[in-house]
Amino acid sequence: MKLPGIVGVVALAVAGVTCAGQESQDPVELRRRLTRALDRGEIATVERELSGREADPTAGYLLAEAAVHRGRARRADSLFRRVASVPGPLQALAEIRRAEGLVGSGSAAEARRTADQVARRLESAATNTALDWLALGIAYEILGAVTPAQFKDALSALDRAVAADSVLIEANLRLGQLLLGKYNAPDAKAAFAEALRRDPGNTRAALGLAEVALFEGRPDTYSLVEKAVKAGPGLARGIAVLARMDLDAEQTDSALARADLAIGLDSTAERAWAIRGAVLLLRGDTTGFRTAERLLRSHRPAPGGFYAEIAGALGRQRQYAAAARFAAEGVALAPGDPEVLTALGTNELRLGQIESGRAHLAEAFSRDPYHVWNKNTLDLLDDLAGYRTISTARFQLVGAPDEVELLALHLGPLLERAYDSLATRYQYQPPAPVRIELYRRHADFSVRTVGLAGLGALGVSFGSVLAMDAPSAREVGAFNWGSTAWHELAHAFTLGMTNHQVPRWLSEGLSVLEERRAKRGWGAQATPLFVAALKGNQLNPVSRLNDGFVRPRHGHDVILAYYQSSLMCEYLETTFGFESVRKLLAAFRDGAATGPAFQASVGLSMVELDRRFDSWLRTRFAGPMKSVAALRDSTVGPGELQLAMESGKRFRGAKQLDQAIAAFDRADRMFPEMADGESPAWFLAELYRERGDLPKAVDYLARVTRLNDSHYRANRIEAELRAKQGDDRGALAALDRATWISPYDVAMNEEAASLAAKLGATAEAIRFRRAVVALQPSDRAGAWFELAVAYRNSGDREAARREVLRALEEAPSFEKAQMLLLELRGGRP
Amino acid sequence: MIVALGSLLFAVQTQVVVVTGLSGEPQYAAAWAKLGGSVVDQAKLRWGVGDSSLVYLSENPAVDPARMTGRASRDAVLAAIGQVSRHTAKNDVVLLLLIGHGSEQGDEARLNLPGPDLTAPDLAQALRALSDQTVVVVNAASASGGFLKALAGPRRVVITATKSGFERNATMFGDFFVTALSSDAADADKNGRVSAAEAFQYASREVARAYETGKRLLTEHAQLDDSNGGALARAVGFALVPDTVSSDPRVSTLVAERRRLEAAITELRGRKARTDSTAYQRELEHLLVSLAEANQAIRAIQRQTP
Repeated sequence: MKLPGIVGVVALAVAGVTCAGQESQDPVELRRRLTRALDRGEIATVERELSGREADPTAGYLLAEAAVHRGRARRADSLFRRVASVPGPLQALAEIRRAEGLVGSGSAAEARRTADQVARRLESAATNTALDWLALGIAYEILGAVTPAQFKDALSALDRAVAADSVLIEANLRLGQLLLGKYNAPDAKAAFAEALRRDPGNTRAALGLAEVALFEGRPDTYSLVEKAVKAGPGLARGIAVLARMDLDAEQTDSALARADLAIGLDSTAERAWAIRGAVLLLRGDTTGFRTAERLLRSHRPAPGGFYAEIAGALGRQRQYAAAARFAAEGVALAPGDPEVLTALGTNELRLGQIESGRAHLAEAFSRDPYHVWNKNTLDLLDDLAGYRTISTARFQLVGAPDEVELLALHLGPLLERAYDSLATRYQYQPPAPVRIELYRRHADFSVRTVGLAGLGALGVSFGSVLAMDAPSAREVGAFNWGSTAWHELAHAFTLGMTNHQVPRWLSEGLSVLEERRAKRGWGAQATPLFVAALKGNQLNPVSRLNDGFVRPRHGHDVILAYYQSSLMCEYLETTFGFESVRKLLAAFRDGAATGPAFQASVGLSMVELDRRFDSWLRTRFAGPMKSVAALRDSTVGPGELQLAMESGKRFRGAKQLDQAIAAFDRADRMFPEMADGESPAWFLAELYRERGDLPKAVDYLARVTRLNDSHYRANRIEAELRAKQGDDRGALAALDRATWISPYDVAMNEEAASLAAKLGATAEAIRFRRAVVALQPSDRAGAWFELAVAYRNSGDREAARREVLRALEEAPSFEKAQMLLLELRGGRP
Repeated sequence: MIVALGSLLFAVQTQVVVVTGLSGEPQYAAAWAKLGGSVVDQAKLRWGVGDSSLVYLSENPAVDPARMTGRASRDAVLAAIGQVSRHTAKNDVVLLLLIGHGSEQGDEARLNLPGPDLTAPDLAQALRALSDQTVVVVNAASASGGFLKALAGPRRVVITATKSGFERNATMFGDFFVTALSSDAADADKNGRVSAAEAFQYASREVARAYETGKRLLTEHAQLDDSNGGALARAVGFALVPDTVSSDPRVSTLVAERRRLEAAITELRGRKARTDSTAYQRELEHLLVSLAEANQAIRAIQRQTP
């Protein structure tokens, strides 16, 4: 018998364990060795070794754990009960593990009674072993379902278990799971890492780290899970995580196969059943789903986690209504389960059912006050109550009270136009009103979307509910809020007309394509990185385009996937006509997989389509591919283009303008369609401006603004130079483009209004004058007066009178306004 | 103390003292010289301030000898205030504009000048000589907040660019305040004069907008103290165009009518919240039209007068 040297560990005085021929007869060593085997998914090994030894407490306990891994709840219950009936070091742990099983089998009240008894006993004990501390931690976890504060007691007890026995890995693993369950990824990660440090090769710990990566959305998640599953193929949990990730990548065949494999290992694995159920639902197989549901419920009568997982999976497939429906079923069965309440509330919010969503999240939060997502979302909803809504014919624009009027002024007409344009093109009309929320803090948008701050996206579409950053949420030039809104609205069409069954890549690709069609310069355009990826064969084939969105290997994969997807859509439209896109969407609506959907719409196999698209891309980018180095993994070597750019910058720095122009001109000829903010065209525009050659500067600026929808400075300079050259119309267009990057500059709006008035564009003049008023300038009376003039010029004398009276109420002595008032009343000014 | 506010609008003389402090960097020296020069030009061209009523002290008077009257030492500033007090009449308006870098040592706010700094107590002591005048002190320096309390008093409008000595970054407030003094945009009530309150509001708003546009944390919070509940700051102002006085009795009558209408509008606006909106709008429009007609008549007479 080996006595551990760590304080708090009691030597196990277990008599009668005499199994000749076994590796170790020491019950402590036996438990540790076989627990390690269980943690590696070697369930059969444990069962084999301990076969026939159920009467021995250590063996019985381990066999019970093996039964839990296999989902054999009754056998586990019986074995734990037997161990719990025998005084000894595993008694309390067996008792509480049995209670945990009771929670799953629908006897939560009995489980809590047991947990309470165990907790009281251990709390009053003079000394506790590490196993007792572990048992106490589990007891507090169970009690935490109704007394959330006991979550902290659980953490403390588990910490003491860890401190008491450095090889009791279960306590570390429990800590990790508990913390991850409370959305505390950093501490969960530390706990799993500690477990792995103490037991290198512990598959459950590796899987825990992979789940943290999944939570954090890290690109290496899939490979981490795969690695863990490879190391411990007997663990159902890891396989279920892979199934979930396959489903998220819309690879339903693989997801189903893996879910079934996990269920084969553990017939009570709720996550695996949920993925199986979700796949069946997505395929329209309601009968199959109900069968799966019945089978699971034969083991677990009220599986809230199952419904929460289904709702999560469906939500990630953008099936928000179905997600809310199944979450509601879960709430009906497990009314107090915070996980399923959260799933219901979250999806209701996505559907625009704000009050009901808020109520369910509040209920969830009252039961689990450590839930960061719910806390953030409820705080956001409190803020949202102070937001204002402005309605147009088919839209509700929701924004911060001090800017929503300004934003709606520009965005309302744009969205109405977008709706008409897209409805004609897609021959479909999403349900109105469409709600669009504009967040002035990116963190709020992020919380609205994923419950946590830190999301990189600009906007999101839940169907007829859209959310996005307001232009004030980001640095000027970071994005184009008009094209973003157009993009998100396009999703409402592609999601709606396919019953939300459009693959992510296609929905994103079409949205980007629609941006490009909407206005000159909008939408993603070609970059050297894209060309480098094409040249380096780093782009995914069409059949795996989704991977770029859901399983990016590198940070830039998502950006590349957006543009590539949009090019695929462009290819389809230009080669087969837009009707082929509508047919493709119809095929997805009818539940077709990607291959058959393409076969039905364009008559090509995926292999042939991949080949033709690749050829189309290489033809289209043949020019720049000659001058850009290939992307290898995530690095690009210096190509001719880059060398020319660097040369140009060097010459410019040395004030050698002729040489700089020559270098940038060379670069420009290599890749004239380059859309980066610092393109050759941008530098050439600057250089020609410095030289005073305004026509040339304008030509290059026009190219910059045609290819880059967020280049605020280029648009402002273009407007200035065009105005100087007498091109008022061009100047106004440039200012209008700048407005979609940042609408907050009073002087810019005034300038645009003046140009519009000069050109007789009265509607535009009114829009920009109204924008000035909405910006609450220092000169409010002046702003109202100018708006009155704009209305007067448009022939709307009543509106002019209303506005001039506002001006005069603010500034009664305002002479010009007085004259206008008299004029409007019919007198001479 | 109640100030006869109406008197501030008419027939008072304005004295102007501009001080630009130690710049530290050429960029500040150039920017402040431009600001100071702009105030001096406006004072001469628009407010009718004669050379004898203008003091412009700077770190280096050689930069702009046509406008700058001396070096901005502590003693020179205090002497200039003493000089103004001797030449100014009762009820005149004195504008003291301080531009520069400030600091706070202990509880003592300072403006950094060549030689000893100018402290808030120094200035408070000197301004006692101007108890019969309306004094507008604008300290646009960084860390200027401590001047507010030290200088507050009867017939004083005190404006500082920051709320405390802890706001030590170079400020933008002075730029916008000086812009406001000559800007139609700052003349919110369009009466042809920019009041101290209007200039303060304009500058504060534009500072906030500039920081917001630049996505920078606002590090200067301007403050205004008025010994008369804000009324003094609203009353004391600076003309955007030179005042002209007509001797035509018809104009005098119309001007009296105009004042009556303006007072009626002010009174009506005061009870807006308690008035039915339709009735309010009707009465407002009636008064505004009458006011517009009165002004139209004044202009017509002035056009006829050679």
